[in-house]
Amino acid sequence: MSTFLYRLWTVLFVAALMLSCTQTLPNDYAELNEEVTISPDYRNLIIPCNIAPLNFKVEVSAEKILVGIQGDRGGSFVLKGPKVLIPEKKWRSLLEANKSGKYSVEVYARQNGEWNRYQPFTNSIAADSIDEYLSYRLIEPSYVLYENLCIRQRHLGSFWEKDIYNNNLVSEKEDFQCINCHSYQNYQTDNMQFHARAHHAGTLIVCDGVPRKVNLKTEQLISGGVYPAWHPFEKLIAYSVNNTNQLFHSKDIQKVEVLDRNSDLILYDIERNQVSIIQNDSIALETFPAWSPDGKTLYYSSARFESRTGDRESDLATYYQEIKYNIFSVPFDIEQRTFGEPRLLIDAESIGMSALLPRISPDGRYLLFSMAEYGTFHIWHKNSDLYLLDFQNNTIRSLEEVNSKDTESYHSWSSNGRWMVFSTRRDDGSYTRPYIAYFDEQGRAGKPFILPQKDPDFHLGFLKSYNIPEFMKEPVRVSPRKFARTLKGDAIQAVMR
Amino acid sequence: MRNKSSKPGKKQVSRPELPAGTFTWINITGSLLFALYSFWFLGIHKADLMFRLQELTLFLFDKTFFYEHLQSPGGLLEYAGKFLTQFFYYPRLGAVILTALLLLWQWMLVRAFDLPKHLRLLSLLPLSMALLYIGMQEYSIFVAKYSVLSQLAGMILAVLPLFVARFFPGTRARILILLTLVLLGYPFFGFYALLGALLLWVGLFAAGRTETEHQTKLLLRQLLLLLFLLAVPPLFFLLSGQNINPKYLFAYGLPVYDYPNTPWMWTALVACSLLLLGLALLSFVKKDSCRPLWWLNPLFFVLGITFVQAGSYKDLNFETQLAMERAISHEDWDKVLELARKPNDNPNRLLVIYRNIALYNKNQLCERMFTFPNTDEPFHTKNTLVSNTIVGAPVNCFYYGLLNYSYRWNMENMVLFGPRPENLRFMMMSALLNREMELAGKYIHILEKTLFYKKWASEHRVYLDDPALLLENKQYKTLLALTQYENLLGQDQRVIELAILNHFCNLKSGTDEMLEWSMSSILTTKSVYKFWPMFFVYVNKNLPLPRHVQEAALLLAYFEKRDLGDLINLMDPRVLQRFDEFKRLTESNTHLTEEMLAALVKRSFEKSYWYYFCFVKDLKTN
Repeated sequence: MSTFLYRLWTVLFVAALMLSCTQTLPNDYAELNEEVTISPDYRNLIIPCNIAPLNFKVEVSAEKILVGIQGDRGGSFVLKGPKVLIPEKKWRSLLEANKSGKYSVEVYARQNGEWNRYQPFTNSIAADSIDEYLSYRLIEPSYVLYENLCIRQRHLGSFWEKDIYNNNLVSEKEDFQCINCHSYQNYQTDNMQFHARAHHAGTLIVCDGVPRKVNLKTEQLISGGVYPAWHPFEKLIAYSVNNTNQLFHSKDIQKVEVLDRNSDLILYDIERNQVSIIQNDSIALETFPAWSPDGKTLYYSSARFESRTGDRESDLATYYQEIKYNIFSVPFDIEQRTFGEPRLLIDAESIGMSALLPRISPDGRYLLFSMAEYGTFHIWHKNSDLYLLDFQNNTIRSLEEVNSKDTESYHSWSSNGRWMVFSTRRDDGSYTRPYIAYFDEQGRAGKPFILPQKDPDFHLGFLKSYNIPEFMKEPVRVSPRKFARTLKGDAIQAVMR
Repeated sequence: MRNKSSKPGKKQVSRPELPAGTFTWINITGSLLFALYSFWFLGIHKADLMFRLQELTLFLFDKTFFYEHLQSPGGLLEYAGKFLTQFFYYPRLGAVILTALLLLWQWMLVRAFDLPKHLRLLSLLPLSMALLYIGMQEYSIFVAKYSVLSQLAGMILAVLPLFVARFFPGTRARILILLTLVLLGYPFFGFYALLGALLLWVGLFAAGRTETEHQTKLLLRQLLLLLFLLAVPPLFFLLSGQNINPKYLFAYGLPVYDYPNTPWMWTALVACSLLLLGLALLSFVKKDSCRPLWWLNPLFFVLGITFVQAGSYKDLNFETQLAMERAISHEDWDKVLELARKPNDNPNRLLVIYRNIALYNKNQLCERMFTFPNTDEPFHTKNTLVSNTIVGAPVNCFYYGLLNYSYRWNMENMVLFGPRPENLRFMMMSALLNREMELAGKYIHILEKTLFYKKWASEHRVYLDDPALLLENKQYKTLLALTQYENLLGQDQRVIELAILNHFCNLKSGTDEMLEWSMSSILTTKSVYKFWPMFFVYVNKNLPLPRHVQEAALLLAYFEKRDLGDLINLMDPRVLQRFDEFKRLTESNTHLTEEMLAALVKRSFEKSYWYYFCFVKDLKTN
């Protein structure tokens, strides 16, 4: 008898618990003729079928808020607001059931004792998945000084996030380390690299899963390697080498101007540990290399700047608005490891603009780049937007469906070419956030959405910028401690070819 | 039976018994007096320091903020320290809370170490070390990464396990507490978990010696426990995913990144740790083996207070700076000037800048700025991170209307030392005045998660919706008027005082609000060739000539043999008369060396621009 009562009590208790968690939508409500404001703005999107829950906050004043989410092919649940935190399991089931379909969101708010329903909105679920991981550096939108820096990887199907490397592991009282420019070969992480500057400086290159530290600076070069571009399948990395200067606006809200005094392009052959020059015109500023998917063409940006007074640095500061980058391509002979003659691809200067960061889509059809009125570091230029060159019909257009009134800059394609991630400061003008947008076969992009977080208010309170968002198909498996040990060791000195 | 204490032939002297309850009264009185002292020390004597500490320490009621503090061992202590620090927004409130906590800690110490009545106030010595640690804080507070009160939290926590163990007298229970403390405590409390474990270990050792436990077995047990205590941090490092620098494995929770070149800042922490160990070692001694001396407890009390008073950092410039910064945070310019008027012949550059900002806000800048000493006393600290720019730029750039500089230096400070209420406030205001509304909204959102800045932040939301209201705020209106200059793209200006002076000196035009700053910069830098164009701006605008402008005009006209003509009528007759006296004094003493002449002129004309121009040279700033 006592066993029976115990079991009965347990069942009743669990049932009560489940009932208390189950919400139902009100039957009696007034239909409002307005759209609900939510943050982040996850309305009318095309989302990947394997993305993490798009948790959001309903930005209305109400005594109670209920949200109904329903897939058009099945799956529904009701959640409480204002912070709508979608259970991951239910979310994954919804996406799975409604691939290539849609789901709708209805928001009910009880105001002055009565329920109101806002206009529902729908999101489409693409059949195309997104790469499973995204990596980025977290850094304050700062000026000169740095301290706690990390490169992180995030699983896009959940909220899992982990350090790839954190400079805390080696920093000491007055010796700190800058880390930057993480980059992967063809979305795989067995071959990857990033730089460390100042304390225990060097370039950390992982080749076939084995990390090593390399010093890319030779006597002939103006610096060690800076912006990297892995060849899609050869053990080669193209780098820019840059002498960079930072200037400060006394009043302009763009605040900072980053200029290259000099920049060139080099190629690093990992297996031979050899560096060779790709471009080093003393007047041209070559930077931001990127490979075509077939590895036969290298793209890069270049601007010509001749000093007027003989003081190049001073002239750069005076005439910085005249520095306009164009995009070039140069053929590459994989067997011989030699480059042909560069060809002007996008003459941005002719229209008074500066084009940077060329990135080719995996199918080779499109070239995505950022363009602003001048200069080289577009994250500080509010008029920087994303543009698309279609090689098929040789047209260039502004990606209006993606651009905002503020900065759009660093961008990456997913491995299947159906998604793009880019850096933008559209939310507040200062803190860079990664936004993801769909890219269909017709070359149109969907409405971009911010990287989802467990707490919808996370991005509002987070005081770091997301820098260099890059897709990966798999996580980085080398541990942060192994990176730290490698960085503390001696660097292999690269030699000129 | 013969009394052990008596010897054959010795006359026995019986000492009078102390009245019952004597020790109790001494102890209670001692504790109460210490509490009063602590309240006075924290809430009155060091009120400005504690207020400033809370401006430099952010605590948010937010899950993400909490989880961030779990990223490395000792993080929870930081969390606790920051939580306590915020209450010093009202220094007396913070003092009450902290004093109560100290008394609680005292009570734990007495129970944990089983202090007999005649030694009970020995427990005040660790408390004194905690107060001393606070009292020793100097300019390093501006460049510290760790919160001061996190160390107090750590010390209290270190005693807690021994206190809890009193309720579980058995050896096995105590061993279990020790093992649990190290395993579960180290990830959150770092060094202080290890210290607590060490105190327990000593207690176990002492207990084992008094029990009938076999000594070899005892030694073996103690050795194993010690090895366990030492092994857990490296194991944690190897197995956990936390970002741990192995160099500081046993020191997490301590301010390892702070106090470069100032090792004496560790004195109080080391002393406190040793005192706790000493108290633990007392368990090896039979507490009733020595005769209870009634004067020991008062002695401990006196020693404790003496250590705190003698060891606390005393520096007129530092104390004045803290008080001025507190006044500035309330925009109480009268208070700033009252502090500036206190006798101090050697203010540092930061005090001079704060004073000038206050004078400007009271419309007295070029009237009175040279009536105060203009010196360049360096910061009295060996901490090389401390500079005028790092310490002062976040605040003073804002009041000069240099919003981008203000934003920049607050951001740089945030990068180096973590987000602070002060930085967030000034970044919010700079963004607001720069019309970067979404950015200002972000900082308002964060400040609304604090206890004491919430209201102030929320009041600023009204400007997000209606920026025109900024002009109805007197301070913001003035600051906006100071921003009416042409943008200039320039190199990194790391010496902020020079950047500010150059900015105002080089202005070709501006609003009336900028005029005083421009003229004061010209006078400060003695930019003679810029003086007359600015002088004539006053004249042409029919603005009254401030005293120092008159003084400069008379002096420069004298040097240049320039005839001022009708302009003389704009001068105050008293200034004219004084200038004649100045001329007579200097002309009749040309035989003196420069130093002797300076000393002579200083006696009568120190509070004039003439003395400054002629004899104050080579001022250094950083």
